[in-house]
Amino acid sequence: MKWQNNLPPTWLRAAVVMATGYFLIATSDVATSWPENNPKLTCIDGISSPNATLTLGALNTATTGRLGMVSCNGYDGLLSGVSLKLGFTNVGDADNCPQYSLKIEQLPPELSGAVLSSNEASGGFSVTMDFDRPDEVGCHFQIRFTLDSDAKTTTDNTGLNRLDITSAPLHVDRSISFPQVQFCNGALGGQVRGQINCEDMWDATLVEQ
Amino acid sequence: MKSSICRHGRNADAQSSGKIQRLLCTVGLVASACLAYDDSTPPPGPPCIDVAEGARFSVQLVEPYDASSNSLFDAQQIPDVIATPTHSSCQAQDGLGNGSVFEFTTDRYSPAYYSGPQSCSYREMEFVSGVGVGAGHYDSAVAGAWGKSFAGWTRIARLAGQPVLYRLLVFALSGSPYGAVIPRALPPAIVIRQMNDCIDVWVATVQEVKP
Repeated sequence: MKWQNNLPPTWLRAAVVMATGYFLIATSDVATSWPENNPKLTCIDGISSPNATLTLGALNTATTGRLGMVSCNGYDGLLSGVSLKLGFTNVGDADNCPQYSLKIEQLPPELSGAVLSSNEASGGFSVTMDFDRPDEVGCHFQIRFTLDSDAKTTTDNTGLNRLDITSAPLHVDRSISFPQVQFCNGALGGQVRGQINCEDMWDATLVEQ
Repeated sequence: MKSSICRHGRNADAQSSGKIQRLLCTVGLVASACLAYDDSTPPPGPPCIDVAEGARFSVQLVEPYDASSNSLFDAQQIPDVIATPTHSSCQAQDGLGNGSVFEFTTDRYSPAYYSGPQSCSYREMEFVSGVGVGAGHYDSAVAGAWGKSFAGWTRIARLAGQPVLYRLLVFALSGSPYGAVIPRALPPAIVIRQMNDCIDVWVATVQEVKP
């Protein structure tokens, strides 16, 4: 086959370049080691009992008053000084790499009239709970509760990431999302309407039982 | 290079074959004219909601339909039949706002716009009153929402002498638009009004106007 100027046509050269590029990317580490495809496991240390009492301390001043964030003002009963019973279920390798699913065993009395429609634990000591108040038609809200630690992740001699959550101060971050806050009597002072998110953060202490 | 079987021949030898070609062309044209016409346009969908033609309705706008409404707000209940670049309010440029009333008479069912299993036709509005734009001329119909689209007015309307894309749509979220507005429940009807790039959605009540 003869080509003008002894060169293949432009379209063919472009196609070869694109095919080569695709081959290089598809077979490289970029395609196979993207973080979402290969999350690195973090083993949780410092929890020796499946039950613990968490006490909320002072509002975390480092995060209070973040831009656009309003306080939930204890709508769900969570205020400084309040204690919660937590349950930890080990969902990892109990001996070598424990990981936990968090559950709030007993909800504050402020939520006693609310019906829990879903309760979903997610990684990182977070739990998301959906509530409806049957006596307040249209009142629906979602609570997201996260227990966090200032502890730093270390790597052990087997290459596993390890986090001892009790080796540093603990924090609780709790947010409530109201699709239509005006239907939840008295929520956020009763003066606001519409879709509202509120959030509070506290220092916290954990006492195992 | 042009090529056509129906071209005339240019020399004597070609004249006889040219006659044959003309004959074949004539036969082909007649045959193609006799074949069934293939109209790929989908037929109109069935009614989204059964509404009589020629009925007159009065629509009152109650309040904006959003999370601040006294009605239960569910964004997924709002039919996604209009694409607008922004969701900014039209600021009542056409006079429509809380408490406004407009009337219309039901015309034909809209022609099909989208041919899917849920495709349906709503009543087009005519003799619209209470809206501060000139009727202008008809613009294409929007997609119907199954069990929700009640009536629609889709126009290139005139506002202060200028053409404006104008869509006024009435939806019955629960299938019937006639009920009263009950706090904390889905509204019986909502009205979507688009004017060029702006859009408003209201809770509405709908009543048939008896002659």
